[in-house]
Amino acid sequence: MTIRTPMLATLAVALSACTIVPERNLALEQAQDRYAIARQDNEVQTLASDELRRAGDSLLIAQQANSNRQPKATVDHLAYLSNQRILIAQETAASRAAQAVTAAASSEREKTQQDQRIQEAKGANERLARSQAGKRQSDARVEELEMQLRELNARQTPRGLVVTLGDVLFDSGHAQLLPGSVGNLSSLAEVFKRHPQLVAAIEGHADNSGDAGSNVLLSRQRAEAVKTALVSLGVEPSRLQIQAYGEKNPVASNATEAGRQLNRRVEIVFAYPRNGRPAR
Amino acid sequence: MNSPTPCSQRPRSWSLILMSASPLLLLAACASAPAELNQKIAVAEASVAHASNASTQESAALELQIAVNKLDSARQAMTNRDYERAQMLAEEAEVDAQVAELHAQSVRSRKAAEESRAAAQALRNEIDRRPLR
Repeated sequence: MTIRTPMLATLAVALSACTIVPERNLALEQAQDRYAIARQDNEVQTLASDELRRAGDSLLIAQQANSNRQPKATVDHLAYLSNQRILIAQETAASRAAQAVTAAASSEREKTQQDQRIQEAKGANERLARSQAGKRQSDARVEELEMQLRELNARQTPRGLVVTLGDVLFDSGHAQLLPGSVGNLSSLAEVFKRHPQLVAAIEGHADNSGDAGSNVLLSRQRAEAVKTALVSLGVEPSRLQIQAYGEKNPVASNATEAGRQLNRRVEIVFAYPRNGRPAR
Repeated sequence: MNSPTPCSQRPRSWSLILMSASPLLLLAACASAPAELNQKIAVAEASVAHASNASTQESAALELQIAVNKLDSARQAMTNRDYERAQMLAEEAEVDAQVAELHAQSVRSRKAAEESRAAAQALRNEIDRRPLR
């Protein structure tokens, strides 16, 4: 009786100690530490929540086994499973995070390529629109020019459009422009102003009365008089080229006075390609 | 030629015998190892088989080998009628194989991410250098 009581007491103490403090298990402690780390990892939490939960469940089983004083081999085994499940959660999260990066990078690449294609298409459209607008504008200008020159009785010739200023502008034998010719010339000057790229040759012609040399001189002086008048009306001199033909290019017979009058003339030749800009 | 009936009848009766005998055979096999263990072994085998691909063999060869070895040990323990140990080894082989496979997968995914990030950067650089016409 005296011996039995302390024995029972020590047994009770031992039992109570055991229920309060389960045996330490290194593998289990390692699993607990690793699980704590994994749980704090935002990536693991969001990208591998199922795997993390399974790891937590298996850790709980291992802890219960340890609390229930299961054999060390069993606790070691369960702790090992927990450790592996934690690794599975971490690797899964790493994989999914990397896959998200891949997806984002490839969609960014696609977007960049698409942006680039849009930019290129936009640029091409703009260039096309500009060139079409330019062509329309130049077509319109050519048509307008033809209309205006037609009003000045311009003729279509292989050399271009030709406006003839008859000898009514000049006194016979003189190169002085008559005052009444200014109106006719000012509408010509207006054409030059409206078409800044337009250039022209001013060609002087004479009939065959008098000697050929003085006729060349007279035709040159008349062409120059026309040029001077146009320049004074605002046309740049560089756009006007003088040619003196004398009596070489008659348009009518010199046998009659009417024919000779047609041959005394100044022609303004606008050379330009039919469907393009007026030539320089 | 004219006696097909006896020939076809004989195998039918054999198959009847076999069919009625197979549940008995299965029961006999189950008696030697717990059903749960057989299932665990099967799961471990499937997990190892799934993990045994070229990528895992390249990036997680050691981890995969551990799983294969544990599966072998589990089978050995089962033969030795150490069912408890066999079950533990099977369970460990299953997760080991998963760890190996997932490790290889994350290595592969990280590599792919790095490559596509580099490709996107290269394209951006190329476009930045290219003058807008």
